[in-house]
Amino acid sequence: MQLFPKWTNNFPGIFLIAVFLLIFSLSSFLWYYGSPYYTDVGYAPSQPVPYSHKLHAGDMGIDCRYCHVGVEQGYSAVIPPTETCMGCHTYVKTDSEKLKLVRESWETGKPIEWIKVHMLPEYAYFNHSVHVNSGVACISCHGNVAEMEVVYQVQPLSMDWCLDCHRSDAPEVRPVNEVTNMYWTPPADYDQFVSSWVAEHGEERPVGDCQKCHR
Amino acid sequence: MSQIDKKNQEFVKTNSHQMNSSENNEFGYWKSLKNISSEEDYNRFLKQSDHNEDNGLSRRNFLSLIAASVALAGLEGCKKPVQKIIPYVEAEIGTIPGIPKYYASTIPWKNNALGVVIENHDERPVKVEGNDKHPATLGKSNAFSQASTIEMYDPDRARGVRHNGKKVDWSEYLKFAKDINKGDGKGLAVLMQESSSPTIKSIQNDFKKKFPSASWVSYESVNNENLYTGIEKAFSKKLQPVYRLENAQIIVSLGSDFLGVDDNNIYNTRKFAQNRDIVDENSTMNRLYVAESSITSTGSSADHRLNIPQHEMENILAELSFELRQLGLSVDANKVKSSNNLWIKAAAEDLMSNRGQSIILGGSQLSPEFHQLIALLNNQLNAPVDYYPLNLSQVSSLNDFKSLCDDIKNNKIKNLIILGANPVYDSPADFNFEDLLIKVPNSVHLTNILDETSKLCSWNIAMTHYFECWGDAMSYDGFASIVQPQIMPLFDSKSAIQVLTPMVYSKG
Repeated sequence: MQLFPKWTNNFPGIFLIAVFLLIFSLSSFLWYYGSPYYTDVGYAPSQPVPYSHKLHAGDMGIDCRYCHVGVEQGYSAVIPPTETCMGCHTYVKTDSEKLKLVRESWETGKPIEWIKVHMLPEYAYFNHSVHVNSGVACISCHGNVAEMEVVYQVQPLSMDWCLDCHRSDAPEVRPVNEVTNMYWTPPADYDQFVSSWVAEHGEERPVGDCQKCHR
Repeated sequence: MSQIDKKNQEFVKTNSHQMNSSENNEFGYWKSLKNISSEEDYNRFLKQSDHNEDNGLSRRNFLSLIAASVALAGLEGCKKPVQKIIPYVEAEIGTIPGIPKYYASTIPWKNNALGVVIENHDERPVKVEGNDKHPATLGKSNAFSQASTIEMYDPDRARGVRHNGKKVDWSEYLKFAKDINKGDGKGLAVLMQESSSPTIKSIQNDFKKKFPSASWVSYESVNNENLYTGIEKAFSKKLQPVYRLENAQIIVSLGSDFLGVDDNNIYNTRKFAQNRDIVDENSTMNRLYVAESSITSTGSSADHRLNIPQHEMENILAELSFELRQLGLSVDANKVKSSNNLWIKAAAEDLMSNRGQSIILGGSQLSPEFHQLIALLNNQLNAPVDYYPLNLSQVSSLNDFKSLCDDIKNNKIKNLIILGANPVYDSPADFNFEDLLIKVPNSVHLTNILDETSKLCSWNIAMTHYFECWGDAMSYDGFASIVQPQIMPLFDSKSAIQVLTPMVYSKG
């Protein structure tokens, strides 16, 4: 007696195709989600106000902390209030078309809705002040903002990337008073500086305790 | 068709008759609707439920659409959402988003003041802790102060001004208040909760000067009136006792929950705990005797707890007085009673052998005579208790409340201003305040929530929370503290001071 109907003869073929598809989808899944594309490197949304960091921070040399006032004290570096823009633009470029939204915001009291570029997940604790006050430069995570017309994400901001520096024997650090300097060149005795930095901060630097970041 | 299929069909055919008809079912049970209804009904039911095209959307189609949309909704999670950062337009100076600010303020708690430090995030008060520089809280807080932010953000809070149920402008009330101001105060009465605010006190003084015939009543359902009356009987002066428990080695509590719900419980707990720390071999520990009728926080901290019914409490005091008299204290012989209770004997011996460091506390629910006797005993024991004048506080008086009720009964009250209390709900039922309140032509209720009293009042004014307005209060030992607003009033609301001032002070 024929136990299986005839069409079951195709089973080995179907099985092979299924396995192939599985491997293909798995690898494309990993290829995509592990790539810088997924980590948003290069994410450069256009902002409601076409603010140029290159002009303000680069050409004019305004310090980062003039606008991002929270960076030394708080978790967040802070996007400046409209007030900060108007501090200068009450006198400078008062009728610029690009600044229309800023003036509107100032007059109506309605805040400007900036689009967040550097996004960390909610489950990762991050404190700007701790990093900046121990000598991690702005440029290390945000890239050379002073040359960006439109701000984009330079580093992957993934957990692996965080740990690369946190676990490194030679982390990317510099003297605290140079953190906002985009064109700092390491001095000759940089290696010595880094090793003394590690000796000094080694205890407090989280290297792998889950709950240090995932609180 | 295969052989198996044929066999299956035969099986269905032979059994279908049995399946369909309930008569053939000897047990009388049914397995499906088919069994108990006629073929016609069943078909109609089928048509209605599953395949009714007139309905537009059948149940099955509806469910499959729902399932599909739920499945597709999951795809929404595949893309990263665009996040926005919305900064201030005009930032408060010194504000760093994410860094809380702390402001000192005071919670006016009946006729006490609880100094607190309030944590503000983005200019919003979210957490309350005690102020360690404030003498009444010493850096600690209680359940009521912890819950006070919830009270402030309560969406059920009253909003705006209402006159006869209709929303009106605040200026309408100002007109009403000015009319009162023009009169001589005949038929005017103010009923307010307990308070220790010096501002309210000064308004009260001016009120009494301006309206000599008006009455000002303070009433709170849970109060310390018996304690104050007892102390008045003992020392012929109304005084506020403050127990310095840090100096007490022996504490006997007769029904007093001084660590639990007492109005000064934060201070009492701190000072009590101070003497229970064993730091080194020279440290001593206080001893707490508690006689009480139900389990309280105080009773559960006791070294020796006596579980007695409430009506026995006066006997316990009489027996304790007897023992103390035996040990050499001069106590009025009419008030003592001998006993065999070892608990009382031990407590009395401890009290006497630690004179100057021993204290008796009585619960606020006990009679004034009881408190009088305790005050005298404490005096003779040289107990660590300080008395402070009460004349700056509004403290509850049942007699005043009674005469107010009598006035309303005799139609003497035309304008009644109720500040914050809910007497319809919590005044003694014998007064029947609900029926009395209806007789008052103009009644104003300042309230944080529309309650039983508000319903019967012609004016309802929403009350500001103490985190939303300026104010002041005094602690039991006379420390004046400022109530500092943390936030602009969330809703259109007024404070007691704002309600009283247009009435008392004319503005031309």
